[in-house]
Amino acid sequence: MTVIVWIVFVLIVIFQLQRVVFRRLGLRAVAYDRTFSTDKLFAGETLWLSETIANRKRLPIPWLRVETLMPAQLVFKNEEAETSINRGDQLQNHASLFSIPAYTEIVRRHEVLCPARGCYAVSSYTMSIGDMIGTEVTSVTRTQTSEIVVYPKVTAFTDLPLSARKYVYSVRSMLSPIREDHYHVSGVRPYREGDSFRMINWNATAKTDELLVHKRESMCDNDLHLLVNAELLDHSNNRRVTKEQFELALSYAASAAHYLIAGGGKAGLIFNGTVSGYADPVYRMPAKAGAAHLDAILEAMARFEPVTRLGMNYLLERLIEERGRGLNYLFITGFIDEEQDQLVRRLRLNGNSVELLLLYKEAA
Amino acid sequence: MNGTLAGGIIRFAGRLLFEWVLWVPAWLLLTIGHAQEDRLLSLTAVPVCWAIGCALTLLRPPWQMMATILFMLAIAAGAAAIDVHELPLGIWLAVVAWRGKYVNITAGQYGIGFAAACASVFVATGYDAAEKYRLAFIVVSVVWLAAWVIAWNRALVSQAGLGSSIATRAVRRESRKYAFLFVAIGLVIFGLTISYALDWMKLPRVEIGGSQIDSIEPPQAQEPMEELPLKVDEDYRPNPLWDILFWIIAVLSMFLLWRFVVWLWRDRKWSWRAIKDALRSLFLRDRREERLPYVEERRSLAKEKKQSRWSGLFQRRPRGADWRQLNHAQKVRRLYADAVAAGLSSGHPHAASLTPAEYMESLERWRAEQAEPKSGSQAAYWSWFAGIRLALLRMYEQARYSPHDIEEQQVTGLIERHPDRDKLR
Repeated sequence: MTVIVWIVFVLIVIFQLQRVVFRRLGLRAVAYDRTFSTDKLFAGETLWLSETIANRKRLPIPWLRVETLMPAQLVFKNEEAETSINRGDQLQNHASLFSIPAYTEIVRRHEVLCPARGCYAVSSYTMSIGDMIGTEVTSVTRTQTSEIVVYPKVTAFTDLPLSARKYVYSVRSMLSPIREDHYHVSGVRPYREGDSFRMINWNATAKTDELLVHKRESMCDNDLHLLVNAELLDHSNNRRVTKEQFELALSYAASAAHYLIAGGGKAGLIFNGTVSGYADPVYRMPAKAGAAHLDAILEAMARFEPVTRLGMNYLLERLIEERGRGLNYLFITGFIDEEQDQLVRRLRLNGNSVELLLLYKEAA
Repeated sequence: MNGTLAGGIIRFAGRLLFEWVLWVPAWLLLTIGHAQEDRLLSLTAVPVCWAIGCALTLLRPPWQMMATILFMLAIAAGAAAIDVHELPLGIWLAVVAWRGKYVNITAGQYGIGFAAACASVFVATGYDAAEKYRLAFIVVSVVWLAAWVIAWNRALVSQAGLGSSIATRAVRRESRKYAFLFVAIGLVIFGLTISYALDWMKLPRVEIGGSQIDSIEPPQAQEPMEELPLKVDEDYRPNPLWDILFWIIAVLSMFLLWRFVVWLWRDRKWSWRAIKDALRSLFLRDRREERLPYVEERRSLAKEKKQSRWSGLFQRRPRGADWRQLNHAQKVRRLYADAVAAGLSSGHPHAASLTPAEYMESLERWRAEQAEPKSGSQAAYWSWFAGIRLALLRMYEQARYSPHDIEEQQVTGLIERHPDRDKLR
């Protein structure tokens, strides 16, 4: 029995020694980096999550596990059954297991589907390592914040309800009654097919040797204010719209903004719900042009939550009190009650145009 | 489907073989003095009892337990009925039958194998008739211990993978290498130290008064004692019931074997395909490429390996220039490089796309988020770094990008509180 007692003793001593070594040196010079291929994308698109782990020392690591608590809305393609993903309502635990020799860097790329709009932050990860036998010796939690902004899905412009589509189209490409119908001349522009010969600026044409015409101001700007209602429930008439319909409303709004800005117009945004990271009860973004502004609108929409912070009646009253004139509103709402209808009429009487996009009606 | 069935048959056969191997030492000990047929019979009874115990687990829960207990009692009582001296054999076979509920070969089963082998060594040490098996039992114990370590490693890696498929075949294989290395190191140290250990663990010599116990005269020869029941009896004749049981089981086995062969022959096309699938799955399973749900790339960082003080003896490439040989700008750049290396060794990755200012800022932010080391050289270094970060950055940018020289007092101020300032002067 002495022989067996001795070999067991020897193995226990070696086991304890190597545990001490791995506990002290195992995580030294181990770098872990997690990056997303893009930080902004549209709902329904995929991105690549890259995990880079480097062991810059002579001691190899028999196994190393990295666990990350991620939002449940990020769906790992092809991995639900293959890897350790414990999915909850809000969060999911994603784990990766590596075996890293000395002075080796491993890069793993996971394809991630982002089906739902939102802002998703991944803030920390936990690394655990094992010794030669495989027992876990130590673990450490490190902080590394990365954020993904998933824009709402932009539907095709032709998928918008007909009335809204015609309205946005008219705002963007208002013909003579609205565009360049002012008696003030703001400058010159190149001749376009269909321009009247009376519009030609002969002096400028003679000087530049190019056919130029007068550029006139517009009576009405081709900017559009997207007014999105966060209310999902109409208490007075007991009507309700679902969160999916709210998402559809945002898709419509995104599509209208995209169509307008892509055509050189301006778009603004007004929302009466909760916006994560924004304190005021009403979120307002002035009408501007340009791709950067479109990104800002989409990013703001990514943070929208269907939780009302100011009733739509109060918001409409506020808009009326501001006495804005000549503004175009696309009012996207689940339903409209009598009081809101009155307020919309007053808004129109102030010299604005308001087009309704009713989700409840669309869903019925 | 055929492959699955073939795999199941192979697994079952492997489990039977495992159970057989596990009880070989116990079988050798318990059948000392038995006739050859009896020994063969008891050896055959091991897989039979286990298989029956395994089959009984298919019953519903209340009946399963009762049937197993009844079967165990029947085996023990049957053995005792044949001969009271065979009761240990019956109890052993009852234990084998009870083990039928353990269908999978887990790490714990290897531990039981090791325990059984150790118990055999213990019995063989004090039992003259089993002395010839002692060395073999010791070797078997060591083999079981090594197998237990490897099996334990497999279970631990599965556990590390949270019981899911993230413990890929590659990770298991890599991890197993380290377990083998552990066993190899243990065996080498064991081989080198066993002779000293035997001397060291020998019982001390007892001194009584001035004389040693060796000088005490041996006691007088005593009257021969009554023979122990375990002693081999020359005139012992086994009970004829054993022979009857042996022939019954032999005939039954032959009949089952014949039926099996007939069954295989009847569907010989299917049988041949199943055998081919089984062989293919047995020999080619490691060659099949594992489908990974992610893309993985590996890169060697050997070029980044830090040169040790001895590596210069074997390589022509000299180490970095001595601190005193550097000019002021180079010293500043060395301090910046040291900061990057310290960040890397602490686990902060270095992105080549970052400017020095961005990297230093990210390093400082990362350090702020981590738990501070309480003491040691790292704590002193990072404490120094936090104080001079901006100055170091400014001087590094000046040294790297501007035509202006770095003054000596600038470098002196920088390293004034450096933990290794004595070496840097």
